[in-house]
Order: sequence, then C-alpha cells, then structure tokens
Amino acid sequence: MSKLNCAKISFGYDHKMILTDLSFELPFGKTLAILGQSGCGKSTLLRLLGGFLKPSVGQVSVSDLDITSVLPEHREIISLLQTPLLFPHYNVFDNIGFGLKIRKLAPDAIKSKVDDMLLLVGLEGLGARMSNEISGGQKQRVAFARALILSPKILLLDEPFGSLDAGTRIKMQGFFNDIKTRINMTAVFVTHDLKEALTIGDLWGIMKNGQLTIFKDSVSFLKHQDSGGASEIKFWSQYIQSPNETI
Amino acid sequence: MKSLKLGGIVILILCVFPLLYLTVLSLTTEWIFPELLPRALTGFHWNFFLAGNQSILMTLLNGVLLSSLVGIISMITGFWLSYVISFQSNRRSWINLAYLPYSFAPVIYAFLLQFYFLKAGISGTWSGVFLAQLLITVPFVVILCAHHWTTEMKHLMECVYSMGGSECYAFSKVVLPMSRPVLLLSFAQSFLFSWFDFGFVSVIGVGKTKTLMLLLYQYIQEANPYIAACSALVIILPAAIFLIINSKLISRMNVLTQD
Amino acid sequence: MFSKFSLYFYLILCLFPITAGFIYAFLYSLGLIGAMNTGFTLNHWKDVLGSKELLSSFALTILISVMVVLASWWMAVTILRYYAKELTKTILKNGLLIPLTLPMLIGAFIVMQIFRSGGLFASLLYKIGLISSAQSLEWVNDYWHIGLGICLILFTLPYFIILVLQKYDKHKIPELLEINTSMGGTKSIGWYRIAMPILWIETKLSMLLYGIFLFGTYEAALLLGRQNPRLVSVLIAQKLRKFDLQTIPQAYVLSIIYTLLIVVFIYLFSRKSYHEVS
Repeated sequence: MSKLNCAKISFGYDHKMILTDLSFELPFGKTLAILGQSGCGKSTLLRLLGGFLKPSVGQVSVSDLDITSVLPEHREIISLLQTPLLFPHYNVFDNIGFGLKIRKLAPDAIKSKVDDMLLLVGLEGLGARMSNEISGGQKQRVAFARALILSPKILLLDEPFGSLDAGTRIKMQGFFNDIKTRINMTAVFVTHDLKEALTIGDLWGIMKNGQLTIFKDSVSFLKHQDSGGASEIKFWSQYIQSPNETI
Repeated sequence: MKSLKLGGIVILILCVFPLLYLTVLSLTTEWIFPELLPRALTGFHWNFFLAGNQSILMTLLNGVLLSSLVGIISMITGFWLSYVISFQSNRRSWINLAYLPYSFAPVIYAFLLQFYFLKAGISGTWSGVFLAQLLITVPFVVILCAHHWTTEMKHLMECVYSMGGSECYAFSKVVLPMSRPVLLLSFAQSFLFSWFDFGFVSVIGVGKTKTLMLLLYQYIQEANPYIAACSALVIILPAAIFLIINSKLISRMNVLTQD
Repeated sequence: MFSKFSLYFYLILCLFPITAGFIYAFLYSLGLIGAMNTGFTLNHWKDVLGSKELLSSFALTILISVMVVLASWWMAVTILRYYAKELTKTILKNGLLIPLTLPMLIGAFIVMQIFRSGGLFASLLYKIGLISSAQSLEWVNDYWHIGLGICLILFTLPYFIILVLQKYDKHKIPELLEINTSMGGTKSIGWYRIAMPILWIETKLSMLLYGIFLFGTYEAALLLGRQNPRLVSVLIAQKLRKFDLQTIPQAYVLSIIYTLLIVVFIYLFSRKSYHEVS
C-alpha cells in the first residue's frame, strides 16, 4: 500500500536537537493530525517533509521511494501555512491557476480546471477578485484550491485555520473533511487545538520534545496525558450539573 | 493650506523657501544689499544657460547618462546581493558590512582610492567616476532592499517551489513583480546619489568628467550666483520628479505588503 | 555556486576598496611609498598628533556633528510635541520632503547667499533697524561656524522630523500619553517621561548614523567653514591637493585616523542594531 514513511529522522541547529529519532507511517488517503505545544518541532517536521530542510539523520520515503535528497519542486508535496499566503499581484483565478502555468497547461485547460476548483471550494464568481478584496476564510480556501488543483501526493498543513475566528474555523474544518473524502487526500495536519485534531484526523500524533507518538484510535489519543483530553473533559464537566442538563 | 495652524504654515514656508529663493535669484541680474527683493526679473541668465551654451547641454546629457547607468547597475546588483545575504544565517552581520562603504565621505573615500585609479589608468575618465560611484551605491541598495526579503517573501517563494516552479520561475513570476516599488526606489536613490555627487567627480574625475554639480561649483567660485541658481534648479529637477514618484512608491509598497 | 560567488563578491565590494585605500595611506604615512619617501619614519605621525591645528580640526568636526545632531533632534521632537496633528496632514508631510531633494552643495550655496555680509538676512535686519551696515553680519566663513551650523541643521531637521513622526506613530505614543493622563499625569510628565525616552531609544541608532555622515561633510564645510581650524574632510582634501609634498603624508595620517573612527562607529552601530533586532 502506498504510504509516506519517515524513518528515524533527527534534525537540529548548532548542537540543539529539534527532532530526535522520529518515525511514523502514513497510508495514502489518511490524515495524520499532530498535536503539540509551540516550539516542540511540528513546523520543523513539516519543513523537512516539504524538502526545505534536510534531516541530519534518517530517511523520508513516499511509496518506498527515498525522497530525502529530492528538491521541493520535485516532491509533489505542497504546504499550507497558518497565514494563507497568496500572490498579492495576482487575482484569485491566477493564484489558483499558478501551478498549472508552471506545468505549461493550455489556457483553456487552465480555465476549465480553475473554474471546477472554484466551484469545489465554494468560491465561484470570485475569480476576478484580488487577494486584498477577500476575507481570511476565503483566502485560506484559495490557498487550498491552489494546492489541490495540482493533485499533490501529500498536503502539509501548518495550523491553517489558526488565524480564523471560531465560526469560520468550524466551517473550514467541515470544508476540509468534505474535500478530504471527495478526493481521497493524504495530509499531515499540525494543530494545537485538540478538538480540531479529533475532527479532522484519521490518525493522531502527539509531538513532545522532538519525539512523535502515534495513535491509531481517537480514544487512546484522547486518554494520553499529553493530549490535554482529560483536562478538557474535566473543564466542561463542571458546567454540566446533572445527566439531564444540556447546553 | 487653510486647515494648517500658523506653526504648520511656517514650517511649510521654510521647506519651500529654498526653492523659491533659487527661482527668484535665477530670474534676476542684480540683487544687492539692502534690497529684500530684486529690482527686476528677467530671463537673461536662463536664456544663456539653456539656449546659448552647447557645453551645458553636453554636461547635462553626460550627467544623465552617468547617473542612469549607475542607477541601473546598482539596482540590479544591489537587489541580487540583498537577496543572497538576506537568507544567510547571520543576516544582520552581512547587512551591516554594507554600512562601511556607505558611511564614508565620498571625497575622502575618493582620495584613499585615487592612487589605484591612477595606476589603472581610469583616473580622470568617465569609467573611473562610474566605478567609483558604484562602490557606494551598490552597498546602499543592499541596505535599502534588505528589509524587502521578509519571511513572507521567503514562504511565497517556497510556495512556488512546492508547486514545481524553479528559483528562476519564482523570481520572474513572483519576486520581481512584487519588488517593482523597491526596485524603482533603488534606481531613484542611486541615480540621485550619482547626480548629486561632487566628491568622486572632483577627485577621481579630476574635473574632467563634467557634471552639473561641478559646473555649479565653478559658478559659485566665480561669484556668479545668478547662473549658479539656474544650474541649481536644473540639478534639483530630477530629484523633485523622483520625490513625487518615491512618495507614491512608498505608499504602493505599503499596500502590496498589507493583507 | 552562484550564491557563494555573490557572497564573495559582496565581501570584496564592501571590504577590499577601503582596505586597499587604508593600506596605501598607511604605507604613505610611514614614508614607505610616495614621491617623497625616505624610508620608514614616524615623523608624519608625530607632526599630526603633536599639531594643534590638526587635532583641533578633528575636535571641531566631532563637536559640530554632535551639536547639529542633538540640536536637530531636540528641535524635531519639540516640533512634534506641539504640531503632531499638523504633521500628519499630507501637505506638510510632502512639504517636509522638499528640503530632502536639495544636495548639500546647493543647500550650502543658498545659506551662503542668505547669511553672508550683504546677503538677504543682512538686508532684512537692516530694514528692521537691527544692523547699520552690510558688514555688521557675517555668518559665512565666520569664527563660530554659524552659517555652517545653520546649513547642517536645516538639512538634518526635516529628516529627523520625518523619523520621529514615524516612531511616534509606530509606538502609539498618543495612546500612551492618554494612558498617562488617565492615570493623573500632566502633559509634561507624559512628554518627558514617556514620549521622549521612547523617541530617544528608537532614534539613537539613526542619529549615530547621521552623525557619521556629518562627520565627513565636505561641500558645506568647503563653502561655509572657517579657514582655521577647518573641518576634517576639507583639511584632508586641501592638504592632498596642495603642491607642497610635505603635507601629503600628513593628509594620509588624517585619512587613517578618519577611517579608524568610521570603522569604530560602524562597529558600535552594528552591535547596537544587532542587539536591538535580536
């Protein structure tokens, strides 16, 4: 079965190790949700997977092919950051179609694919708008569309909904799950929000001190002391006085 | 102007006064003590300066050519160098190196280098002045462009790489279009440095490479303030044009980097 | 590969010319090279370091640079205190940019015309009865360097006004002053204990850099400065251009001292800017 495989990855700067002996497997079509506090190495892991950093030790492979030394432009792995970075001098249409232009597709083909993608992400009719003319949630959808249109093998998401308000965040989580199912997406999703991890993940991981612990079911993930699940349950239970009380 | 308080009006008048004074001085043939204003205004000196003198036109063209080339080469070289050093690990130290040549008074820098220019046979030549000015304008452009390479710019480039684009593609389709304001600013500032340069032109150029600044100094030495005022206004003209473009560029730069 | 080459090119561009010039000047000052070289000698160094004229030139240049920077800063901050709202208006913002279009030579020329004996300022004072003749006012090439000081301040002031205004907005000083008022502080307390310390900290690097530029000022000193002592850059230029070959090594000694001072100042600036960025 095709999968993303990280084997004994270590990485550090100037005698300070950020990731130590990190290993995991992610089957294609699944989403790995990684939870961890700030500074634990989540973003570093994503940059390693994207090819922007090289591990000191270890191997990254996709479908048993070693890609550790492969340049980012040849990996077919696309990253989405917390701040949706759109090209400010292009409109929504050109932002989404940017990758297709790199691949030298014909203008008609680009138009057709971009129009389909605008429909998929719920932004039909906004193709002509510039990036400073759309909302934060819409920008994140454009960033998604720009990535998905290239059918990447793997999508790397670094707290992509972190900068959105609570309502928009929930909508985007629903949007992500919908897209994930429709196109059988493989993704590594980093977050520091437990609920978000539970909502979007098929596999879960907790990153601490440069090490990653993987959980194949949500219950064991929730019960782990570092997931914060126990304290969340304890917090909400104080507002529920009796079994019949509902919010 | 009506909305300004008295203090604001005074500040505005003080800012504009030098230009007004030069204009009046250029339009008279006699302005002596104790007159607060000249007795008569005339275009006599302007006629001489603009229409009657072929060498002034050549000097003007020479200056435009020199400054334009300095501007273009500095803009390209400085922009590229700022890109290279901005993604180094000790970025700050690399940028601070550029302050060293930038802080030297051109005339003293010129004296220190004069021997080498003489030995190379380019002292007193156009190319000698051109090279000497680049020694300051290129580091200056590096300083100017260094702030342009933000984390956001880096991430946008990585975005292009992850979509399969090469570094060249990222530069041509993303970096350069987004960098138009800072490139124009770099060109304008380098052009003005060369246009206003007196130190290199007088020392390395030995007065043989004629520019309007040298001409102005000559008129001042000859105690001919009226013609000097004419040449001063011509010298200021490109600066005024760039000022208008610059202020629009700076506000465009702010818009492009805003979300 | 190309990036590495670019880095080496950048290093050479920034360091090689200054180093080469410094080495030449150093060897010349020690009598090891040059038209009048007589072999190794420290006489030129002794002449310079023991000469009142040359050391007072350095002292004068440093003094003028420091005084102009401090006076301009003080004036800029005072203007900001009373006219902050006015300075946000477009007409004044754009107006402040106009003096920045003037090169130093033209600025010095204008000051020379206005403040010389028989100039516009003398005419104005004569008309209002404060002086009785043109010769009563001479602020060009004068003993106290008044004309030079006016020129340098008029050049520095618009730049400093724009600088402090930017810092004023960036650090939300009006809001901080409101907090001061809500805590019972007077306007003076707010200004001297909140606004000015912030503005001082935020602008001192720029002031140091501007002081370095003023230290090397040439055109204004050439037109408006006194004959003795002259400012450093003018002194060096005149000694190098004289037909007396004895003065050339002295000029190179001065150039070396100037270069070392600039390197020290830039080093201080680098350390300060590094720590502030980190």
